[in-house]
Amino acid sequence: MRRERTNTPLQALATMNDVTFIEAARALAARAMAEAGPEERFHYMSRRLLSRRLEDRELDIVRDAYRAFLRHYDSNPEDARKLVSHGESKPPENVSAAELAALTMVANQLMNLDEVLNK
Amino acid sequence: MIPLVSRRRLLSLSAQSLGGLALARLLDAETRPQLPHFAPKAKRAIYLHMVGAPPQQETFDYKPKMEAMFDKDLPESIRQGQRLTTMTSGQSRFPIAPSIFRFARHGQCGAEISELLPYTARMADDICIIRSMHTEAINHEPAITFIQTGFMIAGKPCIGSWLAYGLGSMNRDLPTFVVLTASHTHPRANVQAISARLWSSGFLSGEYSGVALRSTGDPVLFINNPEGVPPQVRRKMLDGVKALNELEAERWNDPETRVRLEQYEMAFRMQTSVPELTDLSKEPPTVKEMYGPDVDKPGTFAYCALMAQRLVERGVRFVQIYHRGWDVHGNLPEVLPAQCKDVDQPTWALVQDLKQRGLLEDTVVVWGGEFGRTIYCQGKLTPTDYGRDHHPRCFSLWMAGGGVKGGMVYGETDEFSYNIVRDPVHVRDFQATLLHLFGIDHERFTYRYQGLDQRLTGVEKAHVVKGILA
Repeated sequence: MRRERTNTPLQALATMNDVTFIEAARALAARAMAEAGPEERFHYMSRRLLSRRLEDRELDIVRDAYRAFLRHYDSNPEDARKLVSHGESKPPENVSAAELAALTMVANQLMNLDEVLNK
Repeated sequence: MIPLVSRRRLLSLSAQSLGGLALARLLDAETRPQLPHFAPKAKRAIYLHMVGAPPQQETFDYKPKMEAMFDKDLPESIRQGQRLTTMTSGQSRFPIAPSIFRFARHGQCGAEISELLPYTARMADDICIIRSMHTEAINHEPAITFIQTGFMIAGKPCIGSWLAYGLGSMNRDLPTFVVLTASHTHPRANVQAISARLWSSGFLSGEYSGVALRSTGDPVLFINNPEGVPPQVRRKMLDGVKALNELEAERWNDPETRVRLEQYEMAFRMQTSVPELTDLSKEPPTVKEMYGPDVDKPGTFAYCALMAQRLVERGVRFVQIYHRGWDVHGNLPEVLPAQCKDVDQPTWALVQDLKQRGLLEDTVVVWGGEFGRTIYCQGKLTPTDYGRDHHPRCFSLWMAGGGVKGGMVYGETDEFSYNIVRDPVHVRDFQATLLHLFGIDHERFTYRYQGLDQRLTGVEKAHVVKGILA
């Protein structure tokens, strides 16, 4: 048996939007915040997803996205609260919801990379 | 068959000193065919596949002489030692089972159509019934795979993928090739499994695979962003995914990475286009009534038929609908009417709807199964109950629109509906004809893979059925 190829837009929608994936992204973001300093968080998540640190030009892309996410969630706290509340597990209470939401979106971004999904 | 293309290309390209990416693009341009070869009649197609194989004897191939032959043995001069499936090869007798359903002539063309298909009968002058289809496979999986991909072993691209590859998209907001699986209603229908292999792009790039909409609940899952993620945040996230995947594509030059890039952008566009597509509230009641009372129930054939119309109206190139449960080995008189009822009115409505919207002239509609069924009975024959086994030597299928002559009956079988006596149409001929309607010469529409210029119709000779062209 060989698993059929599932490189379809339907798969993309599932791994971007399914609550389970969102919850997992938040859990990874929360862990990164708890275990790594602000500059190391992106590498921390990359190591768990890609088994490697991000290259410089990758880091630029990710950092830029994080800043845009943070701007949004800083000025839209209700969106931040909703995003970090998906799933059955509870988000950590002692962190900024906007920061956690922004980092959750970075995790969601990394979890949707071809390098993560493709064997 | 395992798609090895990415590994092969990786290995071959990493050996080059040139920039792999530029080379890959060059190769792509070289293999892409210049289509169409000549002026097309059709731009899109809707293929209604009746999985399990409808019996031609109860639908389109009227055999009045069989009535007097009830329970008589099928003459050896007709069977001619033909190989049977193991479901009936052990039977001591092959008693003839005439259709218990009546036929009448319909339309100006006078086509004989069964009472089980009253709506189809109404549009006899719109359709071309081919009664002389034949295939090489005697079991479902290889037969379905054969008519869909031109090869009995799974792994080759299906018709929809070939057309998506050759002709491309007419609406970048929706997939080029969409698959719908419709539910059947009779609980005792004998159901065959189908799988995504049937809408696979095989050795063609994964972007030409069919995208299957779900038959129950939401047609596409996870179409909405989660709460707390507005569209501009999703867009920013995707811009990053795209940029990071571009770096990955540069690093490894795996074509699958490029496919994924495209699929994520398609997913984003579908988040807007699919809710509009699946919102049937703006369809006029007169249109919905044509499709029948089930039209608002997702997954019914009526719903799928209306959806197919909406898809092609929005520029989708190829829509495949699978309807299962046609494998009437037994209980035929009980199950077949329900199977026919599932599809009859919606199919008629689809053709009329396309016609009213001016789409039928360049949209081909195909209705049919993967093989025929035996005139002899499988299992116990009684005046009110019988079943039919698989029969590859002849079956009926119809086509309409897109340059096909309406009001026509093509080909003929013997009085037992066992052998073809006039104008046989092999599965390959059907495929060659379908491509012809799209302005494609099936012999010149090729893709090099495993050292062979592969084509839908395979390496054996196929003929365009000129007699059914308008």
